[in-house]
Parts: sequence; C-alpha cells; structure tokens
Amino acid sequence: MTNAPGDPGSTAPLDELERLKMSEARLRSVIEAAPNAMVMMDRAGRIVLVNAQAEKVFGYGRAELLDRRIEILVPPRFRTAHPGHRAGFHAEPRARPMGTGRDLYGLRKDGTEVPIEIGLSPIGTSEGLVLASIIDITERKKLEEQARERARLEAAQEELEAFSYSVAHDLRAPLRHIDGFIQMLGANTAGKLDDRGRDLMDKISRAAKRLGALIDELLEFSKTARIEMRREPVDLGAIVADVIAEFQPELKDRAVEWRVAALPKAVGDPGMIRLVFANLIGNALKFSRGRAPAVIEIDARDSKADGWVIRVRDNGVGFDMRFSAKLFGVFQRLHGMEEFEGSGIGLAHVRRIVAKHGGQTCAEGEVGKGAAFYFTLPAPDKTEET
Amino acid sequence: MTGPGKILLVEDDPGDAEMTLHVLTREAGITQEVVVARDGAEALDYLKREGAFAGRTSGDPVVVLLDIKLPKLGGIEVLREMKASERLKAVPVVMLTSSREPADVTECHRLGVNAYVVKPVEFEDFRAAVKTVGVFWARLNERPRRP
Repeated sequence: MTNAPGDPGSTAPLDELERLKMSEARLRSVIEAAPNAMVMMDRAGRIVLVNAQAEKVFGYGRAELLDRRIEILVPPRFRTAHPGHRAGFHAEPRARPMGTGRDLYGLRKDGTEVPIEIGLSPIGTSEGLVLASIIDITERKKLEEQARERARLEAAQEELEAFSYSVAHDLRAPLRHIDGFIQMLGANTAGKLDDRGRDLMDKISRAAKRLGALIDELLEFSKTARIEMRREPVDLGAIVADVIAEFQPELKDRAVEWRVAALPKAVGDPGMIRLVFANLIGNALKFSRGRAPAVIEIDARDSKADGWVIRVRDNGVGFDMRFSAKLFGVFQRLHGMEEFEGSGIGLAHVRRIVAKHGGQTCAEGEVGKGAAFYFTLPAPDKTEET
Repeated sequence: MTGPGKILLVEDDPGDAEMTLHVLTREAGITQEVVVARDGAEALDYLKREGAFAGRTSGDPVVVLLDIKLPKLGGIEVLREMKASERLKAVPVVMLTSSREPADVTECHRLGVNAYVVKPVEFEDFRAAVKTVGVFWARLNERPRRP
C-alpha cells in the first residue's frame, strides 16, 4: 500500500494534468463497462469513442467506427435529416431522450436495421462532445407486437360475438312467422292437400325448427362475450352429475354405461363450465348412439403446470385424426347432416369458454373406435399464486 | 258481438301482431275486441285518451300486451308511465317480447309488471303461451268495474 498520488486514500498532492488524465481514464472505463451501447461524437458528428456494447449492437469493430461520421449508423431514410437534429441538439444542449414519440432505428454493418432507444448527454467541454446512450429494443418491440396482436384477436372475437348475438336475436321473429304461418296454413288447408302437399309443408316446418336450433346455439355462443365471467370454486363432480341427470329422460330406451371418476374442484364460472360438460357429454351420447352399451368415461388428472386435465371419452363412431384441426372451428362438422344432426357450433363454444378460463382444448379420435375430448381448468390453489 | 272491455296489443311487427290476434280470437275464446297499437306513443295516447284517441269513451283495457322493442317510445317506457299514473297503474300489463335479457326482466318487474312472457319461436309454444295469457287475463281475472 503506497501513498502515491491517485491511490485510494492517498494524501499525496496531484498536479492538474494528472488529475485530468485520471478523470478521463475513469470516464472511459465507465463508458466501456456500460450495459448500453455508448457512442460519443464531436460537434461535427464525428465518432470519437465507442464501447464494447456499441460494437456488439451495430456489428462493427471500434477501429471501423472511430473518426467516421455518426450518420453511418443511421438508416438511409433518416440520414438527410440527422445533421439537422444534431444542430438542434447543440443549440440547446441538455441531457434528454432523442425523438420522443418516434420509433428510432439504427443501421448495422450488415445493412439490417435495429430498433433502438437513444438518450443524449452533452459532455461539458468546448469540443461540443455528445454522448449517446443506445439500447437495443428488439425484444421489447417483439413483446409489444405480440400483446397488440392478442388484443386485436380478442377485439375481433368480441365483435364477432356481439354481431352473432344481434343477428341471431333479429332472426327469431321471421322464424317464428315461418313456423306459425305454416301451421296456420296447415289448419287452413286441412283435407285439401294431398300426401305430397303435406310432405312439403312438413319439410318446411322441420327446416324452420332446425334454423331455430341453430340460432339458439349461435345466441349461446355469442353470450359468452357479453356476460361477466365469474371466478369462484366449482364442484366439477356436482356439475357432471347434474348434466347427466338432465340427459336421463332422453336415454330411457338406451343402454348407457357411465364411468365417472371422482372429479376435483376447479375455479371458474359455474354456468359456463356446465355448458362445456353439457356440450361434450351431449356429443358423446350423440355419436355413440349406435353402441350397446354406449360407454362414456369422465375423469380428471392433475397436470401440475396446467391445472386439471379433464377428459370425456366415448366408444362411438370417432373421427379421423387427419381432420382434427377442424373440430373446434365454428360451424365445422366432420359428419354429414344425415348421420348426425347438429350445427357444429358446440365445440367452438367449448373452446371459447375454456380459453376464457385460461385453459386449452384438444381431442383424439379413431374412426369406429370412439373419441376423447380434453380440456384444462385452473385448480383452486394455483390461482392464489397469480 | 264482443264482450265488455278490450285488450290492448302493443306490437310493431305485423307478422307477430297477426299471429297473436289469430290465437287470441280463434283459439283462446276471447270475446273482447283486440285493439292494436303500433308504437309506444300510440299506446299511451290510447290509454290516456289523448291525441288521436282524445274522444275515446271506452274503459281501460282488461289487459295490455306489451312488446319491448317499439318505434317512438319503447315498451319499458310505456310500462313506466303506466305504473306512475294513478289511474293506469291498476291496468294489468303483460310483457310479450322476444327479449330474454336479464336486465329487461329485472327492470320490468321492478316497475311492477304483472307478467313477463318471452315470445316462443316455435308456433306450438307461441300458441300455448298467448292462449294461456289471453284466457287468464281476459277471461279468468276479475277486473274492478269502473264507472
């Protein structure tokens, strides 16, 4: 431990030149070590100092940058205006960010652009030195774009649901008229129609009824967006038992074997979750109509990371996995209308509700063997952490 | 020959009006005349004996069948005015509407509506609903005799 001038705690005197040299050395080491790219330029815009991070961000070795005009780091379309910006800064030199409100870009050696944020500081010497502190914001911009994309999708989805609602609602009156006037026509022409005539009227009536069912499903689907979603503990076992009980009347003449495991408690909107089960169980029953007995299994497992994974499986006609991507789309059907009635909205609705709960849906199937539908729901303890 | 009292049907949709009239007159055995108002303002004029109905001498209707979505003045507004009027608040009002919106159902009951019926899409159900309403309010329900 010497007592030389400049040593920490030293009491030896320093002359002015030594002091300046040490200040400059300190400044250089601070700049070199900075996590941001640092570029210092003089009044003419010539680069006098860069740090390691600047080399990294712009892809140059510092020897290639020193003494060059700062404009080589500026994309061509901004280059002509840049000297003007610099002059403006020198007219009123003070530490501030550059170009607030504008998106700034730098130009790399390989010709590609990099989105950046720039902070400018005048270095208080007569040379009119300016220190630019530059951050590469590529990652941040990517995250912002993803968030914007998600918001756009959400807005589009909600608009679709609002539109579906208003259309479906307005369609009810004409539908009522079709059904009503057909029946009144039937009463009016009783006895005067032949078999063919009665058959035609019957077809019109049935088409009106099918249209009504479609509209009801569309209305249900669109309601999801319009109603405030509740978040409360949900007893899945109780809901499933209730849904199965509701189906019983129409299963009087069928052999159905229910294999329902003990189901956990989840967190979500009870009404919406009930719709999910009603849809999936209804589908399972529908597509297993030809089976004796129809076997429907409902169980859940804890996936730790994604909460509960609930499965509804049947031994019905199944589906071809090649077309599984279409399953959850609105109005998509994998079976012809003659084989199985239904509008094809149900699964889209299921997916929408599960997505609102932060979960996922998927399906597996094998033609002739049956299908299994999976969806995830948050478990109660996990939401406490968020 | 129609019996005493009238039914006021407030309905802007011609198809719905025709179907309701058909069921009321042909199937519900209603003897009262059914008066149709096409919008909320017309309904109130009729009830208050104002405007085009200034000279009306007949009594209050035995029941008002009220749609919600109406031109000029909506059904809920009509209901509000009726229940705010000393004389009209005793006139039975049955909402007969496509709207199943919880907000509408709640508001109407809050204002004191006598019944809220959602118009079924299937004619069988529509017929049963209108017949029930007509039979109950126009035949079964006793109205005070007004001087």
